Amino acid sequence: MSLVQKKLAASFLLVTALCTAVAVLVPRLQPDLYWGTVLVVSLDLVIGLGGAWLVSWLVVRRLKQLAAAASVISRGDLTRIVAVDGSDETAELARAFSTMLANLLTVLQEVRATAEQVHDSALALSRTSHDVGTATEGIADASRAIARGADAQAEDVARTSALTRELAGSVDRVAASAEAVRDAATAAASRGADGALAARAASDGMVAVARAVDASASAVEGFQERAGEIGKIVAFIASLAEQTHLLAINATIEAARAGDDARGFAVVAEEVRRLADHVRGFAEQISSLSEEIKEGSQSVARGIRDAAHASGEARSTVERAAASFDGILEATRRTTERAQAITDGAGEQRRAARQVDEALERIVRIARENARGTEETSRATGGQTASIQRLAGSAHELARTADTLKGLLSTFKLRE
Amino acid sequence: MDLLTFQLDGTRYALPLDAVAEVLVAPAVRRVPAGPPGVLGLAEACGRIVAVLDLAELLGRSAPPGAPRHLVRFAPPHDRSALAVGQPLGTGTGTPGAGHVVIAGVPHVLLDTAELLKRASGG
Repeated sequence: MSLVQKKLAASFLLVTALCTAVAVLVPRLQPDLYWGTVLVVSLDLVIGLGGAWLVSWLVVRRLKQLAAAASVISRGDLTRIVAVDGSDETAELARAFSTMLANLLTVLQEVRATAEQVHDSALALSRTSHDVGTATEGIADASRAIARGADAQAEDVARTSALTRELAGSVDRVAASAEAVRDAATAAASRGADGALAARAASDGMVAVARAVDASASAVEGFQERAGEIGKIVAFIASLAEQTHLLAINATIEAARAGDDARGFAVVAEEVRRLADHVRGFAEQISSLSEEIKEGSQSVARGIRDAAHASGEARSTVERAAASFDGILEATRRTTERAQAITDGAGEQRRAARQVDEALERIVRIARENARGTEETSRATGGQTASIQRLAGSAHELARTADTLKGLLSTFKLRE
Repeated sequence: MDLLTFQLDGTRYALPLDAVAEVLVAPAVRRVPAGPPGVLGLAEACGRIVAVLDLAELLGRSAPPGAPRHLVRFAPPHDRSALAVGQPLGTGTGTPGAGHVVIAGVPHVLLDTAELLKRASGG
């Protein structure tokens, strides 16, 4: 038997006992039957109604509470607490209702929390997708820039390679020129050696010429001294002739003063004067010739001195020429060595330029491959950007769905 | 007429031989301050001091450059005077003309000793 049945049975038994007690006691207290009967009926009626109210209160009271709680819950308020006391079926019902309410509240709270998390996550995912999309677009832009840069790099490297080949050609030309310089320097060295030998022979010849010129100069100087002595002698003869001339004139004067007896003496004096004139004339001619010889010898002496000076200068010039030939020989030797060094260096530069050209060709190949790979990466990044945009759209849609769920959950009043 | 001939500055002159004492190489001539224009100075000749006459100045011609080379000392009574000449040429015989004489076909300027001395003394 259930507890309600037990309560109903107890209530029935209590009502029955009270009615029986009223029926027993009232006749003793009210002897009048009528009034006694009226009183018993009245009291039994009161006891029956009271028992009925008590039974109904016991059964209906919790149901009303549950109905009120259900009415509140139906309006979404899940904060209502259903009092649970007793142990009858209504109490069990209330307890089950309360448990159901608590479970529903827990579920709804979890759903709301989950919805908020989903909303937050969707928003974060949307923002992240947007950021990733932006970053991916940046990566795509950077990839395109890298691709363009790689193309430009490939073009630059190609031009550099062309320049390197031109450089190699220039190096070849330099090497050819250096070889020509080396050959020319070798020929110049040979001719310089011949020139040095010839210059030294000329220098020796100039020494002999200088000695001969010195001897000639000494001879001319001696001749000049002799000519000077001749001049002195001639001057003395001229002076003697002058004095003789005057003596003859004076003798003629004295003879004229002596008269006819001295006529013969005057003739002799005149002859003496004429001889003196002849001597003076010859002396003047000799003096003139001597002066001419002296002037000529001086001219010859000047010529010899000039020749000696010129010979000395020529010898110095020839010696300088010999020294220059030595310098030329040394310079041509160094030129030959340096030309050889240039030729060797040009060969090394040619090999290095070839290696650089090969390396540049590899760089061009790699740069073009990089450009192609980067373009593919750019295209892939574009596809990734579209996927990320779709993902962002889905996240946005999920956020809207979470918003909708939160809106639905907001119709429920839950405890915080 | 016997004459002594000499040359001065390209001109031939002639002096009468009886007016000439001697011809000598010109010694050093010392000039006399404020002397007559026709007198070069004083010189020593054969132990005597003689007055040296400047022929170019006396004839009004330009004097040749340099010192005189020879002197012609006059015969007495003018033996205290001498005439500065260039190169004595010799002696000769010629017929005097109007201020000139031709000796061996060559014309010479004939000099008058008295006239020269007169000019030298300012007369």
